[in-house]
Amino acid sequence: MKFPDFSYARPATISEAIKLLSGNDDARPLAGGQSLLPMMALRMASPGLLVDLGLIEELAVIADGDATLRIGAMVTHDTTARSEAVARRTPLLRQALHHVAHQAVRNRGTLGGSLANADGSAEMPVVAVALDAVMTLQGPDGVRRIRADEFFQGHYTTAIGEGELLTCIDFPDSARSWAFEEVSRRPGDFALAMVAAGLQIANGKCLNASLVIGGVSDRPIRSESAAAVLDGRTLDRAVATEAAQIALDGVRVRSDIHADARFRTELAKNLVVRALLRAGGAND
Amino acid sequence: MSGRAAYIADLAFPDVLHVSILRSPFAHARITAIDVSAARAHGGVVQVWTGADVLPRCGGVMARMELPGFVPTVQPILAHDIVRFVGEAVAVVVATSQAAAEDALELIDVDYDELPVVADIASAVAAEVIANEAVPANLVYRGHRCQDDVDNDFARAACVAQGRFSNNRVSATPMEPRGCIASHEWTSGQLTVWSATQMPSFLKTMLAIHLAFPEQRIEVITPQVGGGFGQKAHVHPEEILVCLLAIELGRPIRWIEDRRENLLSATHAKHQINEMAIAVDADGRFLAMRNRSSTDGGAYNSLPWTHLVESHVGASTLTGPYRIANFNDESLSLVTNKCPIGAYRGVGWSAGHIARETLIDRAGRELGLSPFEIRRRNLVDQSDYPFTTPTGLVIREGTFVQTLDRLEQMVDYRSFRERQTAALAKGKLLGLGLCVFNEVSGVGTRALSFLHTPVTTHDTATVRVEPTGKITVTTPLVAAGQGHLTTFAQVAADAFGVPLDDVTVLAGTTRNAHGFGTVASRGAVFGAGTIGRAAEAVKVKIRQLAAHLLQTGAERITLSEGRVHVTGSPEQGMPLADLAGAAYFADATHPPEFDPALEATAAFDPADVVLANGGHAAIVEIDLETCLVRVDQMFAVEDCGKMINPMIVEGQIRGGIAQAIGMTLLEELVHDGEGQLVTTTLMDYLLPTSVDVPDVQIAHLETPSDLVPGGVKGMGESAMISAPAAIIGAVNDALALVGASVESFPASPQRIFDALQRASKVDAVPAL
Ligand SMILES: Cc1cc2nc3c(=O)[nH]c(=O)nc-3n(C[C@H](O)[C@H](O)[C@H](O)COP(=O)(O)OP(=O)(O)OC[C@H]3O[C@@H](n4cnc5c(N)ncnc54)[C@H](O)[C@@H]3O)c2cc1C
Repeated sequence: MKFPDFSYARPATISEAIKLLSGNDDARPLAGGQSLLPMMALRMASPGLLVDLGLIEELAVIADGDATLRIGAMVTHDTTARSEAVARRTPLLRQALHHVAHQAVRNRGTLGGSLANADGSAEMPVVAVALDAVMTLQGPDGVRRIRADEFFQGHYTTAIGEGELLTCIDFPDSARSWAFEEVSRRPGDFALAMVAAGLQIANGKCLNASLVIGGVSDRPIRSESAAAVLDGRTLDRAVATEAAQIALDGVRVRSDIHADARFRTELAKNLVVRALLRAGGAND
Repeated sequence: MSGRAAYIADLAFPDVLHVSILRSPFAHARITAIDVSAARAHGGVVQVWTGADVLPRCGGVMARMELPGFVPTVQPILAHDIVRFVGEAVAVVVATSQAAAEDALELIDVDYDELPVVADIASAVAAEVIANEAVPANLVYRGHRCQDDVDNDFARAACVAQGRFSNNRVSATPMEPRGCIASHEWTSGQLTVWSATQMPSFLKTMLAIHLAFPEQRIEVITPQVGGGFGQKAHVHPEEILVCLLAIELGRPIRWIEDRRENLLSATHAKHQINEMAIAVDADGRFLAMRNRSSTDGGAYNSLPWTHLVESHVGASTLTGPYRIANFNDESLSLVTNKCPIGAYRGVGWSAGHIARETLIDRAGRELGLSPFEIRRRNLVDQSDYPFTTPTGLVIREGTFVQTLDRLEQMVDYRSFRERQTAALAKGKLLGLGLCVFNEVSGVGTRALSFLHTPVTTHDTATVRVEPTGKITVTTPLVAAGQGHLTTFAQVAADAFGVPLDDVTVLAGTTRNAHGFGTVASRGAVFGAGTIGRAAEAVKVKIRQLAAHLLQTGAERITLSEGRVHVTGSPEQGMPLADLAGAAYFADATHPPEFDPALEATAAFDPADVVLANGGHAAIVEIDLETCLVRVDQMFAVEDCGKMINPMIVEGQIRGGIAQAIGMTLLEELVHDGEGQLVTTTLMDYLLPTSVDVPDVQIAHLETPSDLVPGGVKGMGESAMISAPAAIIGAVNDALALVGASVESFPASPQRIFDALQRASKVDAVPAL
């Protein structure tokens, strides 16, 4: 199929981009185009103006800062996956990227695009929530910063306001050791379920555990009560299973043609066990 | 690989107009009004047609089978009054660009009154709702291939294995979707049609009939085709539509399908239910088979295969290469409000083989026989030849037991069972499955008659020795990536004893020769048959002239290494080029009454069913926590007679196995209860990728056919006939460890999960 008619602009600066976007609710930012362009080809989206962010250099930078690792919205999945700084400071992000699409898509798809798109089955939102990332949004009214927890508001819905751009994402250093587990129908497909588990072990005991589950709902689910089960306990399969059993309590797990709610729930629980054991260094 | 092959979308025509087709969003509805005025007024739009415009020009695609009781259907080119499946063509926009055509399409306003929908086999059988009022009781045909009395056998059986197997609706999904360009030259009255088709000659004749257009002025040209697998072996309504528009508008018309359109409206396949049972005695010998199959055929019959291409055709070989004395079957071909079913590699055989081989494994398990042993006790052996199956197939040759023995060695059965036990202790389910099959290959008139789909088919080829001794071959057979032209050139080169480089094969236009098409494992058989026979006719002349010149008998002349010489003494002779030169240019060398045309056209249609055979084995692993099935190893044994080109044979096996993995584990066209297709992109309709397909180990056996010159047999469909059964067998072997099984496919993680919920021996897996 062919795209519907649209206009196209390629600004060189963030402020120009914001000018083009604000006051025009028919305008959409274009990042890697790996989600937006297929939607247009299927005529499920028909923005009147595409504002291509590809020329804005400051959006495509990874800054290995003192307090945080800052990744520009336009950094591609491929660049992130190959970055030495990412490998060192946010190995979880790198692990999760192995599950994102295929090389051709990773060559163009971006971190900012993935987060702004906020697909309930995408990996990057789960990682952002797990690592307590902070999003920087810039719009006609200035710059604001928002925690990942509050950024994702539903399937394809975020806190990005009218005329606003997601410009960069800060990942604070994490003391936890992390593991990422996912199940998809084929390698590179969107997840049926996925889990990011992080924890610290001191004197053989588990502390500070964190669990984020994706693909089961319209946004990443942080399971605090399940993480609390692990507190001060020796991590083994039984303890991990105990945590997994309550990990999705209160969550309305979604169904689709690939997995109904019951199967998806079981799947997620099994992944919680796997991820916890791996994060804790248990050989399983 | 040069990247220079020109597919239909690569062909450029000045002045071409583009087509976009509006498709029904409802499975069954009455069209109460269509307003195309806004679309007509849109910039770049040249024409907009609805069903009312097309009906006077063509009544629709007529499809029938000459069997008593068969109910034919007519699929309108564009729907009029009623739409009968989601994706049925409703209107067409012709514009100066594809984008303009698609923009205008959105401006067409259609009012529909929804009608009740026949969305599955159960409601088709119930017939409270009628899917297509041309088909009473939703039944296109009720087939009884065999009506043996099997009650006694089942009563005295030591073991009865039975199941109800629901096979998924799939799409052949060629990487290149369908496409067609037509150009009508009003000065000469010539209609030229470029189509990505597997059946150019058949398409030409059908266009002549459906358009009431003089056939001698139609040429169908087939450019490079990016895969067909049966889906492009039909006459599609769109091909007729494009021709009608070309005739009407006097400009080339181009229709290139997109993926969504392909998934919605190009023929679907394999959708059937088999309720099967086999009766087995205490020694593991098969006594009888019973089967009732129902095909979910969609709203119309496809041309030429009709609904019968699924379970009706499947019934003929359901007992396979096994000694099963009594067989009783019924097959129902039912209309539903879905896209028409059509041919896809392995056609109606794939689903039935899955059911049969699963039941054989089940019986083996119950009787304590290994999957190899129970099959060995029942396979037709050399000493049984000629063996007549209950449906009347005469097996005169084949290497069934050798195939089984070979597979057993390849999988190393003993050590597999040890690995399986060890894996179970670690919470992993391994499974082994196999299937032994015979393939009705090189399908011609006799085979189609045996399959109870009576159609006469033959192909022709012309072979010419040029004045310089080079060989030109023309064939009606077209390729879709299988490498036929190489294979055919090899046949001709071998016939004349010349290097491959001396042969050119002309294919791709109906100007060359007449034929039925590259379908049903026909290519190699009909290529070898037609070219072999035509070459022989030319060689008669060559021998005659050479005998005259060398003063010997024609029967003592041999062609080899580029020379024509006395058998056994290559020095007594001359280069083929010299002999050809003499035929063309030196009258004085000719014997009396010599006809110097070194050219012959010959037809071929095998005198009987060309039966190939083989077998597949699969080893899979099921992850109990994720319910994912991984195919670890695949094995294939193939006996397709004399192999013309082993590399091409193995390519066919590997490609077919990839499709078998897709069909059994991943691919499924999902419809909701309203007949709405849910899987309309390749993000939802899951094709196997290279990581889903393991390396395939292949072994060859060679039983030459005496029905085809060169001893060739067909094998293009083999992997899709039998590998699906091996894979599902392996899944069920793994599930049997915990007392579970699947009978609905594909064996997706969800279905594995559901099966595990019903497992009777969960404690077989040690707690971790
Ligand atoms: C075949 C295929 C498989 C895929 N598989 C996966 C997968 O397994 N997991 C996964 O996570 N993803 C997957 N994707 C999606 C891929 O990761 C995309 O790259 C990503 O979702 C969107 O990133 P993008 O840069 O392409 O954004 P675009 O498609 O350009 O934009 C997406 C949306 O975000 C908005 N947007 C983009 N940038 C900004 C910004 N800076 N500020 C505000 N709004 C913005 C756009 O307006 C648009 O609405 C797949 C894609 C394809 C085609």
